[in-house]
Amino acid sequence: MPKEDAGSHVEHARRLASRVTEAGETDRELRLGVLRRGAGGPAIEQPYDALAAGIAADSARVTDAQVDAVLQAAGSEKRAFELVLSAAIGAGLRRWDAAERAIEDAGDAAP
Amino acid sequence: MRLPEIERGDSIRHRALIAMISRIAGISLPDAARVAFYHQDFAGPVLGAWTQRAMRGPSGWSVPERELMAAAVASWNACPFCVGAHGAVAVSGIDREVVDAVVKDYRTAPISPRLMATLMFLETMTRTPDTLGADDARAALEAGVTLDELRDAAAVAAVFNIITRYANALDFEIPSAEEFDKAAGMLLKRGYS
Repeated sequence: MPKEDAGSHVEHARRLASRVTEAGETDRELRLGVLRRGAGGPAIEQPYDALAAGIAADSARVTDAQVDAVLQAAGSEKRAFELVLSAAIGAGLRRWDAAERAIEDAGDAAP
Repeated sequence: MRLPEIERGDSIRHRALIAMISRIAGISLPDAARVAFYHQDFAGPVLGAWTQRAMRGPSGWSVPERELMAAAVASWNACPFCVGAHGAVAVSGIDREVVDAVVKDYRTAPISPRLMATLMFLETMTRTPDTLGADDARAALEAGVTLDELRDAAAVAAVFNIITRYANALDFEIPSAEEFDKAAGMLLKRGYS
């Protein structure tokens, strides 16, 4: 079994957000817009918005047509993959941030 | 799989690895593993490192308990691939009946108050994150969960709120029960990164 990086979850979450921000073949602003949309942020241009919002709200209902529209617009499977991952990462990091705040607040209030 | 290049592999080396691992394991390599090989210049390896830390790193939760939490998140996000994959690993240390009961409705499952309270926190985190607050965390702490354990559980839920979403969006192929069992052996042996 590979040895796990024993860094804190906070560090791992930060590294993940940085990676989406810094790496990738897609336009950085588009990728960040998709990341924020996945986290419940503002709408972006189509067809990216429909896919990012769908991944955030109910990923089981994402359709072939939504993914194909993003594939056509983005121009390659790698770019479409980056955008799918960015939306999902936005949704996950939003939840991590909410949990961190809740746990911090409960810890601060503990006797 | 909605992006066929992920299924094929994006380099000669990765295509050879997919073929070799499939042959050795005796199953078609699951789509989750194919994603891990794909476009490694992007976020996959960083997510894999966090997943490895959350699922196999130091924690007050056992590996089967963390796999059970992953399966529960998958059930809330309607991800049959992840329910099957992580339920199959959870049964390495938890009775199959208990795993099935948690995936169906953890509130009526025969589990400890500590795990029950943690799953309540994770469900709110997953379904309605904007409503999650200190009261939710305190409820888990009062059931005997430590701050570190709650943070570890939240990390499991965070990474599986990512993985379940891309598994669904990419339309991962669902293996058979026998294939899930074989893949579970690989996950126990090899981990996530």
